[in-house]
Amino acid sequence: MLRRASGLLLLFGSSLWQPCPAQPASTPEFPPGFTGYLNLQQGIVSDFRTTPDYYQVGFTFHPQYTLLPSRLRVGAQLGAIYTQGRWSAQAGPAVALRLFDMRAGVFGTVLNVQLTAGHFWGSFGQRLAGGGVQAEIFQLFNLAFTGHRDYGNKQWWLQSSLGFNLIRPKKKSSDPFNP
Amino acid sequence: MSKTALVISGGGSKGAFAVGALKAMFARNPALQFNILVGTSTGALIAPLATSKDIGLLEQLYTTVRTDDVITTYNAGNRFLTADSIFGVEPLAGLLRQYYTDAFFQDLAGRPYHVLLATGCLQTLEAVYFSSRPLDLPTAHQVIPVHKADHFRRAVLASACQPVFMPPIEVVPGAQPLRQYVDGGVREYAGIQLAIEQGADEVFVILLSAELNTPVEKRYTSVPDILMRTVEIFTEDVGENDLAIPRLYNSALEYMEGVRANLKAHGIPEQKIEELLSVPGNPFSNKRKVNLHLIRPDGYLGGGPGGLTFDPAEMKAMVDKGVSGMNRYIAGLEPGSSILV
Repeated sequence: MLRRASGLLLLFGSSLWQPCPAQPASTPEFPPGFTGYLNLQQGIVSDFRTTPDYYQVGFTFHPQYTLLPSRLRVGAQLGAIYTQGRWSAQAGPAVALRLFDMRAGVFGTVLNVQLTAGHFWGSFGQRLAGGGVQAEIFQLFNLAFTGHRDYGNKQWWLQSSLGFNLIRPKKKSSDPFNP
Repeated sequence: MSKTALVISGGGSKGAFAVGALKAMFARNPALQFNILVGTSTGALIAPLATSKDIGLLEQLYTTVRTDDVITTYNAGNRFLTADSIFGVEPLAGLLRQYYTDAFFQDLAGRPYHVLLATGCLQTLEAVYFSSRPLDLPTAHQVIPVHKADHFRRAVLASACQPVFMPPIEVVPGAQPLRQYVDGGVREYAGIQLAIEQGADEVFVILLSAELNTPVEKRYTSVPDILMRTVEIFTEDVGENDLAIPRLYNSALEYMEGVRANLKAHGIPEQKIEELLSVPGNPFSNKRKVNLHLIRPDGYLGGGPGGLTFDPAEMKAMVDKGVSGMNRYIAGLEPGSSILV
């Protein structure tokens, strides 16, 4: 049994999990097409002068289109956030710039790290401008840390979020002669 | 009529070593023609072109093709969770379409020799060989003749597709029952026994891995490292086991010949010797000694894990190693002991 399993893996050497020192010119990250992450976020709303800081939690949806494959996505963010005893809606444009990838040797990438930016209008006079960094893992999940200045209400919004891509990359055909 | 067979194992870009070895063989004997060619994985890509006419094309391919010309890489984690392989092989399928054209297959099917492509079937777990034409002799192996160029190209690709890393291939799309095929190395590293069964008297076996007899002087401390070392041990075991049976038969038949000679020297008549040795269940009845040539690299060839790195400069060096390795081997042959000398 194990003998046959060995045939399956053939001649793969011990460099399987070793880090790849150089970034190749091409990357499978930010492929052409759409993504749509649904995120659960939480954080604080504060002006850093008065207390207390307010806890905020909510859902955001990020439909994006890859404008420059392997580099830039543009799209929108739609959110429903609960803070200070009420739900508020937020919406506005957002962009994501791919910074770098982490690779699993010759087997391809595992995640990419992006710089994000956006501007959102909220239902209680919020005008949020800011951005952050985001890791997109397996092109299925993301982990983001962002900060926005609400220049409408003179406050800061700081949050982390976890998301799942509802518009996953289309599964490739297993028939390479008819991709 | 004596038959000559060529058997080439798997090894990805390390197939360049086999191309070099073939180049040296055809340089030595331009009229050389194999009766049976068995290829596994990269060996299946080479075998259909292993003729003196096509060796130039083989060398060109195995010294210019780059990794991106063979496989497509994606987000490995995403592929693991959502697809049937980590890599895509559309580029390799494109190369097969380019070189193994319909006209090429029609010509191949009309040639007086057999090209056999080793695969493993995911549904039945059996080793399955796809043949360019029906075999001349009965076989204990599962051999399927292919009749269409498209099926031939798919069989070559299936033989090259290392499971998990590359997708399983339906050689006959839509066939019922469903059969998906993967790299033949899952079952047999090199199809030596099929070549012998089909009447080969002289078999050239080109293995693309060096013998693992150099100790690695380090402490293994991580699970991935130990796993990969274990895989190396198992892989070596598959290769050695493929060679073990032909070697065992050869040494046993040599022993039997010695026993016969001894009995004859003691004045026992030939007929009596036959009588004495004719015991029911004799595993050596109808077996003949095979002239087995094993050509393999002296050391690590390169080519990255699984031979999946196709680097033209590195592959040129592999071709050169194949040429020099085969030339050294030929130089060591006794005159008249092979079709090469």
